[in-house]
Amino acid sequence: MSMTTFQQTAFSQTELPWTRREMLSRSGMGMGMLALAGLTSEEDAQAAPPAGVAVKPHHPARAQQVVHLFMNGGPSHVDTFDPKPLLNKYHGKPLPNPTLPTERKTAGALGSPFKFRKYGESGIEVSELFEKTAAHIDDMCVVRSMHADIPNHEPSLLLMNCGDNTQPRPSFGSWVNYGLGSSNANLPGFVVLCPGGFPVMGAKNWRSAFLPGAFQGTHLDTKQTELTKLIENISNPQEPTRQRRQLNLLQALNTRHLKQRGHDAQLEARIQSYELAYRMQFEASDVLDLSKEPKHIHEMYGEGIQARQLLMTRRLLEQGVRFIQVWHGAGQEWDNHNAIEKNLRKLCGQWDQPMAAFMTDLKQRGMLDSTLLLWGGEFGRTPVAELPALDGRDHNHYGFSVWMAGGGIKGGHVHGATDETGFSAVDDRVHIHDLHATMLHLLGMDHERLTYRYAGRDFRLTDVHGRVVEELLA
Amino acid sequence: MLRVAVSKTFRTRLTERRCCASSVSLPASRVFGWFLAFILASPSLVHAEQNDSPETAERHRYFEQHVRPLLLTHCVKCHGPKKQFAGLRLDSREGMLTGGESGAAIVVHKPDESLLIEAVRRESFEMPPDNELSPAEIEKLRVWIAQGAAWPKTAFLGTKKRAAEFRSHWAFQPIRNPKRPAVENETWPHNDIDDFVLAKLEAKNLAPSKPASRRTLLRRLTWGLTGLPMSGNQLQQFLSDESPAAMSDAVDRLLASPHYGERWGRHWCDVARYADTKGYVFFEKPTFHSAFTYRDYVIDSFNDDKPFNQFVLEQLAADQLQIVDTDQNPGQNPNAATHKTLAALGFITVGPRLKNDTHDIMADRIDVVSRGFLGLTVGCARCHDHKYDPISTEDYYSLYGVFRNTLEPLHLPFREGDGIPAERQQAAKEIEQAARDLEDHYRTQYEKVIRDARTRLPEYLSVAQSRRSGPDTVLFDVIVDVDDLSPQLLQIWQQYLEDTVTDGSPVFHPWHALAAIPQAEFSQQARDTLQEMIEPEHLKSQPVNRLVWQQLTRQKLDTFDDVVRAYVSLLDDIDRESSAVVAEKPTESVEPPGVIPDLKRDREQFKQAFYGNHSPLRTPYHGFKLLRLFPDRKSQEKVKELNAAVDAARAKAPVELAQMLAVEDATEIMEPRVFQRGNPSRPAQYVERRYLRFFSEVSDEAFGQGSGRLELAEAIISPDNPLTARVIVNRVWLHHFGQGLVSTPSDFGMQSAPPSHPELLDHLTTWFVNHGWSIKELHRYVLQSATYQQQSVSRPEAEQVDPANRLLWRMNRRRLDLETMRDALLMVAGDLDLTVGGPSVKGIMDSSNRRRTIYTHVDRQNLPGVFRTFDFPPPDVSSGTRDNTTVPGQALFLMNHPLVLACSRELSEQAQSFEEKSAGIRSLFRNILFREPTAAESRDASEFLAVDEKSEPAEVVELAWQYGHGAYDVESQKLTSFDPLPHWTGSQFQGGTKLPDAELGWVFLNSEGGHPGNDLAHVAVIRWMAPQTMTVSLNGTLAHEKPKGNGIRARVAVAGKTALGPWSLHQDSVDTNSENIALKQGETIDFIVDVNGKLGYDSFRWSPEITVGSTKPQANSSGAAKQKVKPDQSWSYSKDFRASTGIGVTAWQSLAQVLLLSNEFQFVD
Repeated sequence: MSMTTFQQTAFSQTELPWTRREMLSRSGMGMGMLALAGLTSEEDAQAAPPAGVAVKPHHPARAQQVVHLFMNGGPSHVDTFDPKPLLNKYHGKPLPNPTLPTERKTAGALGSPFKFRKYGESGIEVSELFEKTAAHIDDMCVVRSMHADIPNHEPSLLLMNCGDNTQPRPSFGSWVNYGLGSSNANLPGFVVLCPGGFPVMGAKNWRSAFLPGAFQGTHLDTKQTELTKLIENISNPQEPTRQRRQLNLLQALNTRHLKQRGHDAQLEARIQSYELAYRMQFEASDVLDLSKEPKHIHEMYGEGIQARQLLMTRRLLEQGVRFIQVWHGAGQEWDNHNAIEKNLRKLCGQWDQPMAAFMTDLKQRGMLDSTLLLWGGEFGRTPVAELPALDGRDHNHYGFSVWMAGGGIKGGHVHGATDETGFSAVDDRVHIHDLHATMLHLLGMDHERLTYRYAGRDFRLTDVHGRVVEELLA
Repeated sequence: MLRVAVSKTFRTRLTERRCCASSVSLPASRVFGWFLAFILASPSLVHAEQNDSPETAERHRYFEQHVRPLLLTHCVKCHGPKKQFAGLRLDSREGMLTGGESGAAIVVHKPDESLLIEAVRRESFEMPPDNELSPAEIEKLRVWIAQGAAWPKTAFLGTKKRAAEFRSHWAFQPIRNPKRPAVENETWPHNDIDDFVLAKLEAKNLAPSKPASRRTLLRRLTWGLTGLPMSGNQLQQFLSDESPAAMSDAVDRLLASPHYGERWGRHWCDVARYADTKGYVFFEKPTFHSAFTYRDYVIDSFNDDKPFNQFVLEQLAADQLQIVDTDQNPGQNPNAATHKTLAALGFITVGPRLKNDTHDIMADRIDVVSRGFLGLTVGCARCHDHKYDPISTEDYYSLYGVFRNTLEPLHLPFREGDGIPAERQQAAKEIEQAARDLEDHYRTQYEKVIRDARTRLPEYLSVAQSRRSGPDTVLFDVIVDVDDLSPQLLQIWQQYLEDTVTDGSPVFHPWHALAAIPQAEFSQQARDTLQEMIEPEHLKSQPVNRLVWQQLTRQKLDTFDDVVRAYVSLLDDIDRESSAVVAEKPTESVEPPGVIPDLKRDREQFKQAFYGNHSPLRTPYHGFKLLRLFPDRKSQEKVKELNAAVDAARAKAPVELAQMLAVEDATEIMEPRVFQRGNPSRPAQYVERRYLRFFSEVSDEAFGQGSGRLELAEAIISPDNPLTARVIVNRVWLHHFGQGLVSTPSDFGMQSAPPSHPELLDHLTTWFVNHGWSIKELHRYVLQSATYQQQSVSRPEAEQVDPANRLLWRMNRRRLDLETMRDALLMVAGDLDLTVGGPSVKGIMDSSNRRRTIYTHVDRQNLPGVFRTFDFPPPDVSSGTRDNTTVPGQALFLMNHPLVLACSRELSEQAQSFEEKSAGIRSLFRNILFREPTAAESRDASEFLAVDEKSEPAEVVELAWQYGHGAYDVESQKLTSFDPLPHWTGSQFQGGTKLPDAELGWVFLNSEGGHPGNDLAHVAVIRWMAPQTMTVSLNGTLAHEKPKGNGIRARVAVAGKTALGPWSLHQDSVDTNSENIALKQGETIDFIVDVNGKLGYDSFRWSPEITVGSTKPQANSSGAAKQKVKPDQSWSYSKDFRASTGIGVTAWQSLAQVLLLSNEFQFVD
């Protein structure tokens, strides 16, 4: 059934005690209830309208918001969160276990040039590259047994972001917004920060696909520091007072138009959406204006694009944006086929302080409990060195690490393990589908019931896969 | 008038092809005496299963008579479509072979090893749980399995109840022609449609709404049929025409407009998942070559009112039709119409390419055909029988077979056909040559692989056999060296060997039996194993090919490699003998001397095993994934190169050489197999290519003509097909009313919403078919109805009863969709280019793109945000309806996008030219809303304008900058010309849509700087103009970064004279500051950059700031962004940078924009 029909049905004034504001937010951005009611779009006329019943999540949610720190390119797990002393022992020599097929030709083991040590009460080993972040280790859950399907960036980016490596499917952020709605009607519910433009696979990574367009990610080019370049069509060339008068005139015209036509939720929604958009011009400017942050906060986060992105992320979280994805950049910086020592020092250096500051900041504001953090890439890297340079690592989807923190995650915990070389996940393996299922679970949604009927069948983020990994839950 | 005929030549060609395939010569062999004895002793040794033999028919009867009732009564309730205990299904042969948690339920030919028999004997499981089967019944199952577990292909083993449910489903019933219902209000109806609608309304005590005003009606009609706003003249004419035919005249006029085809063509493009790019592909350009030929074909078809059944035929099988143009001029090529129709085939191929995954591409095609034409979700049956509809996995793979044998030639036909004029011949030849080179490259490699397949057979066989016990490598694109065996062929062999286990092949039985012996014991055990298999008891259930057996016993068997050698040498012998026979005596039925007639069958069986249709040795060209033919990166490079050459040749060619996305049938047909759970590495039984089995009244025969596309198309448009006509009639209704009679337009299956007016749907469908499947006639009929002509105003009492307006007590109000919104903006501003057809244009919202939105380049890989903001359907799959969301993004676009601002400005300029303010206001209302303003509106608008008049114009800041290019004369040190850069991309100004521009070259300016043009006649110029007489200071840094090239040169000219610079910069920067610059009002500061003598790597960054008086740049106060007011006395190039349309929004422009944003403009009543 089309949205039109839904609005006409559900918002019949005679039946519903909703305020106008509620009604309008439901018709636009706050459509979360639709998903939970099982109400869907195109091909599902039989689904009953929710008839004014506020629908609850499938189960109590531990987290309300998600931040996905996405190290696109595939960060090396054996140099960061998954220590493998065996590699140093065999450095330059063939590994004892048979080598799995890799994308490119590889040679013997490549020992990690970085020192690992234990952090926190939990004593989890983390590389020196993330020593500041590791100060929060007792709030973090490191999953060392991740695995994906294909050793290429493109399909793996799609798998991580949309739950499928080929088919055009809605992104994780779209699903979450579809399920829960946005809690700030003046801002998009799904914001994607990526400095320098679009990454590989572009907007596919945050598309809404067949979900309504309202759920797609809104991309901000965080390389830009000026608002007009951060959000599409956000800036109006008129003076605000003139624009206000212009809108007043428009609303007068529209109100008369509506009066002549009797009740029509569509027309009312449109009237209201101009007001929302008008406010968004200013609210977005406010929230994205980092100069409003005090000096000590700036100092805590440090310098650079990643610091700026994370500070912006915290401000967006405060405004109720449901899902924020922070990309490292438009390139594939973490794709360290060579010079891995130099590159990782640089990359991790860009993140370590801001990331530690971000967690401190969330904690001191009491936001970490309701915010689910995910750090990771689309896959990991080989324990063996890539030919011919022998100072970098190839793609590896058989085993890699991510970490999570906040909203319902068991802190100071390591889940799963790769084999002794770090090549493949062997114990308590977690597929990307499982990761998605688990995160949805923490958000109060059952991944098998968060469905959308499209092209004749019900779709889910996890397709026909996925299981909730209970061991990760606090 | 075009008529369609099925090509006779096609049928002939096919017959010939079949003859070719069946010309096999007979083998010869030698026989040994000791073997003869064994043969005579066991007459039933060879058990050849032949397909259409009476034997088979007998087995099928046995199944129907004895087995099916048993399964139905005792098994299917718990192991069938509704429930699958232990994951097991016993309602198909496939289900039995796949088995459940405990493995396969049956082993063909081996009842005593079959779990099913164990279970009914209650040896392991105890089944059925309550009623034990009688020994006689068990024996029936045993016999059935022993004889090969035959299962008739057409058996659809649902429960009777379910079959009855399917039969009674409204959409599967024949189309009826229901009687017009009786109504009380006999004056309201215009035609029969209204009686059907009114009867339902009256049943709910609802009255229809009043007729819409004539103005509303014309706008509704014009938008509905052409997607455009009406013109003032058309409205006047319509309002003054009081004749009863006024309405039908207007409809006729609109239907005759070429823009009708654009509007309705776009509706069909949604269904056809049209896009200009392929999505995710390797090694080729992601843009389709000339996808627009299909889009234009669709537009033309609607404009020509092509009968819908013909439209279907052409889109599926235009290559197999002969179109007869009855209006043809003498001298015209009689095949021209047929040729041009090939563009229709884009329907099949214009979908996403999904990483070139064959199986996903087939799924896309099956989906678009089944949902698009039939309203059936056949795609659901890819992995399992459809959960709700009578569609089996067999059905899915039957259609899979049709499309799997439909190939896209590398050289596509030119739309111009034979008539390519001389001036384009050369370009045409180059394209053709490039495509042939690529094709040759593929073919040569294929031929090498298939030759190797025979010459290196021992290697293939032994590697394939050893890999069967190794890890599953199917998922990997294995990297191999150039001289390696083909990884794909190896997989095909592995699968083939697997199949010979499943089907109990007498040829390969010895192979598998010997393969089971552990290596260490091989030489001791091989003999015994061979002896065991010819024990009479054993032979009864597992026949053995005698030639193979003979060969194996003759040879010394030390390792399994000897077995491989035995098979290959037998094949070698047979090859030699048959070629000898052919050479000597090319006659039929030659019997080599000394062969016992009885062995002929064995020889034939053996030959079939290696040379039969399914043998890996006969894998056809299209059986390979083309890139798998080149498994290593090095040889893939060549493919890349040749692909690039094809793309380059095409890119060079003029647009007249557009090529159509045609398809053709494979010359060798690959029979489809069911893939278990949709997994191509688990192929199961072969299926016929045919139409959906449940609809046997539509078509009940296997397809035999080539791929079967034409037969499929004929089934779809068969008069007995209950779906096709209903589906399209409902789509037409949907677009006129905003909702279909069936609200799920692409799903008419069991899960679909029942029609709101089932009788009306059938009435319309009958009417449509009786009127020659003419869409235009259907429009006329629907638009003439009183139902359509109702007003859209809401009525509280009716809202109560039917809030969704399913009963049609009023017309639905509709928001302009993306296309008609943009078209309407440009049209009322007088800017819309109404050219019909042609290549797609990039940059949907570029100011230079004035074409109708249907001609916008649709990049399915990277759809610009504005498409999704306005609910354009994702072009990856067929869409029947569009979402209708209301989001702030839409409002932001309308409030702030340069395109909308530009349209407002054009409209305001005209309004401003009136002396009387009220006349200007009236002209805006007339141009945009096609009516006079009311007194209140007039008053509000004047007041709005008056406020601005009182205050100072606030937009001086915006007027200050201009973004241009010019010619610089070094001698006089002056800019001798200045012109604004004409094209705005959304982020920068430049010469045209493409860089470099043909005229202005590389010059562009963006917010941070830009790039100079190619020479001194095309320097980049940032111009600032003093709004009043003042003294200013200048601040800024000019930088050049690129290491390559020789850098740039720059100057600043004040009031026309060079005042600062020149600076020559290469990977360097310079401060461009100056103080106390006195300027009169209107004088300029020009920032001029040239290439410094040599073009290349000349991008520069320059963001000057100009401040009145003081040199200190104004602090960026924190409230600046919120206030949106810049300090009066400073200008920043970067911060002020925006599209030219943003410069100086006048009050009139603001007023015009109000009307463009109004709901009255954005919605159609």
